[in-house]
Amino acid sequence: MAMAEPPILELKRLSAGYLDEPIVRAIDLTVPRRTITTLIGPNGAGKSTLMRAIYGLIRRFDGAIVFDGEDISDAKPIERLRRGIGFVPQGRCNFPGMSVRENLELGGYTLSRGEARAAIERVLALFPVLRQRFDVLAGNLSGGEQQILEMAMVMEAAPKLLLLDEPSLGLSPINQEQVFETIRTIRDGGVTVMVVEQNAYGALAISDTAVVLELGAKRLEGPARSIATDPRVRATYLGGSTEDVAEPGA
Amino acid sequence: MNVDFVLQLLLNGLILGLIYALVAMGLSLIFGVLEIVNFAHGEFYMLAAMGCYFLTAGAGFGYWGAVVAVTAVSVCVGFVLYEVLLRRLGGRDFERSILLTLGLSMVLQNGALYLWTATPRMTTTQYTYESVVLGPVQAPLVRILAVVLAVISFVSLYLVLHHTRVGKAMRGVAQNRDAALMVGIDPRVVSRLAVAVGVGLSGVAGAALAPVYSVHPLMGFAFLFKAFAIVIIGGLGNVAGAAIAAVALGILESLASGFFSLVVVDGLAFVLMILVLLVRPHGLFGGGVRV
Repeated sequence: MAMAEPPILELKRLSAGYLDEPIVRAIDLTVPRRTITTLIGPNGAGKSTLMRAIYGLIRRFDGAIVFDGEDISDAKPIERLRRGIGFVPQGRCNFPGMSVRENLELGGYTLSRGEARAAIERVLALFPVLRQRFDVLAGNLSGGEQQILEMAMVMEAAPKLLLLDEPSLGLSPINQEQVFETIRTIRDGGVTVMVVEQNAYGALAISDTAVVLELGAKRLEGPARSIATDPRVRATYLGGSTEDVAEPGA
Repeated sequence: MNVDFVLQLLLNGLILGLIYALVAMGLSLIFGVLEIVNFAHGEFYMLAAMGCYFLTAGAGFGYWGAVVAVTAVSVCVGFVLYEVLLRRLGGRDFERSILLTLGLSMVLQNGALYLWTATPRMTTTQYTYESVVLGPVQAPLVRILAVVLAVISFVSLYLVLHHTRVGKAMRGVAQNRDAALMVGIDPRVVSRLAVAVGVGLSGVAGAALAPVYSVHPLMGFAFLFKAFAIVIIGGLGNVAGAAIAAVALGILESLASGFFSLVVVDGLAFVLMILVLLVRPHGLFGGGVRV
């Protein structure tokens, strides 16, 4: 076997939070390349906090973040973006008073002009729905289209790791399906995706790995399919029957 | 009542409105990008007007030299203001930002009073006694130049905000701070520029106004509250809305001054503001989205 690439992301006993106290504690996690990992857990388990810590938006108390073989524990968010971590926060995260074109132009803000033009073409090829809506104000797109626009904006910087916080929140079932399909397309393009989802079944169906958080600590980790059917997890977090679980992968 | 009189009032109103617009747009831009209400904004306008007076009266500057110098210094003052005072304020420090800028306003205003007393001063330039005939209306050249300076500033601001990367980034931060962070816009770089441009605009306003009206250390404070009313009428953080509201108010005030007492005129902005808030709480043109 050839020498394995280092994992895209390693968290080593990471503790992070907002003010005086860490919210997530001593998280150990290894994320292999070109996979989708879903974080699940009840409200307040620290899922979004962990995402924000990986992007460097909140205070790190202890532990280390190793990205692509390099320690980035002290890097600022913009530095992490340049190194290849993209983060799409929860809620609407585009520029509603600007057209899709202008939003995508700002998506390439960290690139040179030429690179940005090429990046826009690349994401338009990946997300053709945006080409049809190119001159529409982002605020007038459907919720699903806005979420896809936001992912496209971050994808312009060609991240190796894409963090998505609740991408399907507030979307209609059809739009949710569209977003999950898009996440799978992104992963198939070679990007590692970490996702926090309230629609745990939908997310688990497209995920390779699932991590269960509870009270700021990692409780369980395993293949998405076995987590989805694990009776303890179902009883505690998912609430529903296994019949709802679609085939993962497809 | 004759037509010439009304035309004269309209022209005066337009000039007044454009000066309001310069100050209000800067205020609106700073609010939109930094979420800070700059209570010291009127003082920068006052200092620019005083600066224009001293440059022309004491330092031998001509009209254009004074305008360019005052504007350039104002932009630099904006940079310094951001770096020294505003940089450490976050979005959650709203009360602190009010105290800080209000305090600065007191210091600047009273410092100016101490140095220069409250005596109004007239700025004289090479254009002071020249006038232009526009059909039935005769207008002093300095008034026409005030209009020209304001229009140049508006066009430049529009071009920067809509056709440069950093200008789009400024609109982006005003529309959605999280999204700006997501695409890697450094909020500090954009904020610094917004403050520099905003204070620069009040510099242009002061320089354009000084040769038209008398200048004195208390001129900024009263003006500021009118600018607030304009910003609220136009929609908080909406720069174009502020410009339209400002010009409309200037013309209304000027027309009212032809027929009513000065007290009515000065109250007009606030009566309009209250009416707009009752009918359209987000202002005539909506909030900060359309910078």
